[in-house]
Amino acid sequence: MTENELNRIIRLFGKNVFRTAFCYMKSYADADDIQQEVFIKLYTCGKEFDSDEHIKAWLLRVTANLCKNKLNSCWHRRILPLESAFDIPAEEKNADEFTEYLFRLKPKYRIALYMHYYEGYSVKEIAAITGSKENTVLSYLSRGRKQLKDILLKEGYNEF
Amino acid sequence: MNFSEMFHNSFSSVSPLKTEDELFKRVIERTENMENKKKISLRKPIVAACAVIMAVAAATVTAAAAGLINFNEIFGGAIKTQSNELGEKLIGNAADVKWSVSDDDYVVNLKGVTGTSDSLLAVIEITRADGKPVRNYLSNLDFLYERGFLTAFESVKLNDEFDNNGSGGCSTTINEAGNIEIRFSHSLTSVAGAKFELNCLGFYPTAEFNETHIDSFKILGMLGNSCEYYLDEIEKRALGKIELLDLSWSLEFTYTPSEASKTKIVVNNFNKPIRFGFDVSAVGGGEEEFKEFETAIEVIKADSIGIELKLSFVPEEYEAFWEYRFLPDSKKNEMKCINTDGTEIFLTPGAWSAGADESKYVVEMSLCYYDEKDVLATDISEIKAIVINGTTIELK
Repeated sequence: MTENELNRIIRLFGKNVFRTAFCYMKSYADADDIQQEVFIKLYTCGKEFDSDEHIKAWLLRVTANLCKNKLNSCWHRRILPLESAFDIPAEEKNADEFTEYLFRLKPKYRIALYMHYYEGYSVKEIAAITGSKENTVLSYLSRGRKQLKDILLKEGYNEF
Repeated sequence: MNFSEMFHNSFSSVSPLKTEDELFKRVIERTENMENKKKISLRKPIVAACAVIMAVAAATVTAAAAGLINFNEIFGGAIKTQSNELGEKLIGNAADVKWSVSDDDYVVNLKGVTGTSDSLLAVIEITRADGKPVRNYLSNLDFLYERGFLTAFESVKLNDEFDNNGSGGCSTTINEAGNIEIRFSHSLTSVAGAKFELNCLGFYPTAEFNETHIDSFKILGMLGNSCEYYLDEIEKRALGKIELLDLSWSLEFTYTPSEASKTKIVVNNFNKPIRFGFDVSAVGGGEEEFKEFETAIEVIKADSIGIELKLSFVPEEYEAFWEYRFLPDSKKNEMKCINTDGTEIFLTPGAWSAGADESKYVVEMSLCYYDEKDVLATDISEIKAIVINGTTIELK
């Protein structure tokens, strides 16, 4: 891959990768690390892609895998939240209340919802990206929707 | 406002920490560094006064004892092995282990490896050649060790051949001896004799650093916990006073599943009977509950590899989706095989899938053999019954 191509893809999909990682990790710093690793993998993988959509799906799949690895790693489990320990502007800590509610769901539910409602992927596409079966993704969406809806209702959201 | 609008409103304002230009530049720099590290192995202490570059001799060491590593107790208890010859034959071995390290003060050891015909588990330890704990050389922040904080490291990088489907993972810790221990598991292809090359890109804090500055936030992140009162101390020590370990190494070995392990399953962490139940969403709430249901159980297949079951039930009052989880300490509703001679083999899950059809929920799962007395699976022809969730299924 040339540097020009890398630059182009970063501009096209850099935010998607970051937001996907943020949805998994719930942390700007972790999402930043993951985003960087994803594009390093892209740049060094030597893979040929058919289209920009193919590239995007590959990027998000790698993002999902790296996030899962990091979430499951012993190192990650021993780290406590750092939000109180450093000075980050308040507006960067969480996008808004909605993401705070979304983050109460398990990763597999919230990432399925994010992929569907924000990235616009179908069940089949989400299954391919996350490595789950289609029936499983359907179930994640169903359950995630219900849990999120319950949370929103409790928090006073009435219209959705 | 619908879900789609909510998601778009929220996530559209989530902005990456780096600009696109910064990310691009960083990716290029890191890639070039990776290439340079492969060519020139350096140990580079962060010293403000001067930079010392040491030429390194790579040491290639063939595994002791004619190239065969036997996994045994030193694997750490994650894998149960049979103590006799049969057990070792059932698992596999690693041959022709070679490793090279960028710094001859450090040694990389393959502590143990095991697996099946399609998965590999291994433990690697990085020690110092002088026998002292690696931890003591990672930084001068002794007071943090005294307070029980763990210093962690950059993750191990696997080469793309084994990392491109994300089916593996690894964890890096400091073990009791104060050395770096890496446990990794990965799926293999069905081809025996897989060859692994682990290119560790160095162990150092996740901080970005150069000779003059260390991002203390990242160091704080590495150490974890609310260490804000250490921040000043770290910053005072940072400039040139912390020696960071930057170690590159590669490990190459050939793993061959034994003939027996190709047909029998070696299982992993479960050494207690498993309670079989489901997490479901309770009516009217978002909390999960662990429920047990009466299930119809059908044995799809039973052979020397394992057993495939189909379980179905109709929990009418619950949501469409559920998942099972395991409570290894519970002896209720065991999952086990009973042999003709009365001995028991406990079952642990392998792959499974779940879904729903029009009238019921269905799980299909593969189960593996595991014996609580540390004896691996025996001949399936000896199994006369299977007990699942309190239901006994007679096979003979």
